[in-house]
Amino acid sequence: MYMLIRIIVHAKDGKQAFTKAENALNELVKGEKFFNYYSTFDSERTRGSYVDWSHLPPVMLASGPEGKHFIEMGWKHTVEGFMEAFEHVKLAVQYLSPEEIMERIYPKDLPADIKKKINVLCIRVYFEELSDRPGHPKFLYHEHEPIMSKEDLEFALEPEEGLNVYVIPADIHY
Amino acid sequence: MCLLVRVIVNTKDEEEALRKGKEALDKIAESTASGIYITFESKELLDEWKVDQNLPPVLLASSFKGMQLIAEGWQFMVDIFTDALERIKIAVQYLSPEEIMEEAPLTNLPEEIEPKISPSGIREDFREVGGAGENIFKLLYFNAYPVLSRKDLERTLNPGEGLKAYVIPAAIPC
Repeated sequence: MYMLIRIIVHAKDGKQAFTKAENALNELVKGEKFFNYYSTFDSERTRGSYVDWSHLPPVMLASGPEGKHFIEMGWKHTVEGFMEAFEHVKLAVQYLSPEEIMERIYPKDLPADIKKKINVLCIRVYFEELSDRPGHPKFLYHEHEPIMSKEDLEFALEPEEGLNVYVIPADIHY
Repeated sequence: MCLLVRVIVNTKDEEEALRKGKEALDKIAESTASGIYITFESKELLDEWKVDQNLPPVLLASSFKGMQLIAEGWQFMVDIFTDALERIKIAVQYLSPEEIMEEAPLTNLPEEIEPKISPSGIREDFREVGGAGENIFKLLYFNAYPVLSRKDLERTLNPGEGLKAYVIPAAIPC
């Protein structure tokens, strides 16, 4: 699957920002541990994605209207993804034993209405989504570090003397 | 201090098992802080690293010592998983998703609960239960992939026709 992630970097200009973002993206796809491959928006179109994101510029100033909105949307998706995973995890710890979570199996006596709400095959993925690991549903990165809290985001956006804060979009496969 | 990692491989003979085991260990060690490992071929290095276990470099998984090594590794992983899940259960019960996300300092928790969880550790616990690979608490691997469930373990110990299950122990500094 593909997702649109945002890399926030501090740089002197757009060119340096783009290079820094590429380094971060290479780190995120290294060994295919977190993601498999990515495309930036400096080329004609993004690779493989079925969503048309081609209108996006390759680099944006984080403080500009476009960049600001793009970061806000990234944060919104991150929070939504976290909440969704949290609901699944909450149900799992309430109704499943450690063995059932580990083996990804339903308990025999689980009521049908609860069973419908728990996707047991993906249950460990939801735990992972709440972790500190890069990957879905973390849509924002400070260089290659996932932004997981408001505090992280504020830190990433804090200006540094002589540098601007940029955001670079990337279509990435996981 | 070193952790004793066990890599299970399915191969025709010991020689191939050791080669495949080392390939897997290269990848496993890559994601650890030290990036290095030693197998039990190198007695001098083992002494230097103060590894006091006396093991052969390759063991048949079905041998007494092989079974013992695998059982110990599995039990260790189950214990780590269960402890992490127990802390998650407490966090989910007493903290809001926002508090978990922001790693907020613990306030208003019952006295007996507070020492059991740490806001900064909870993300690691999610990673542990999720089963993310790059984690030195995984002591049992099939090739370079951590064995995450009993089902996984059984599969690795029942290779296809003409193949045998071997276990390659290795020390990784932690």
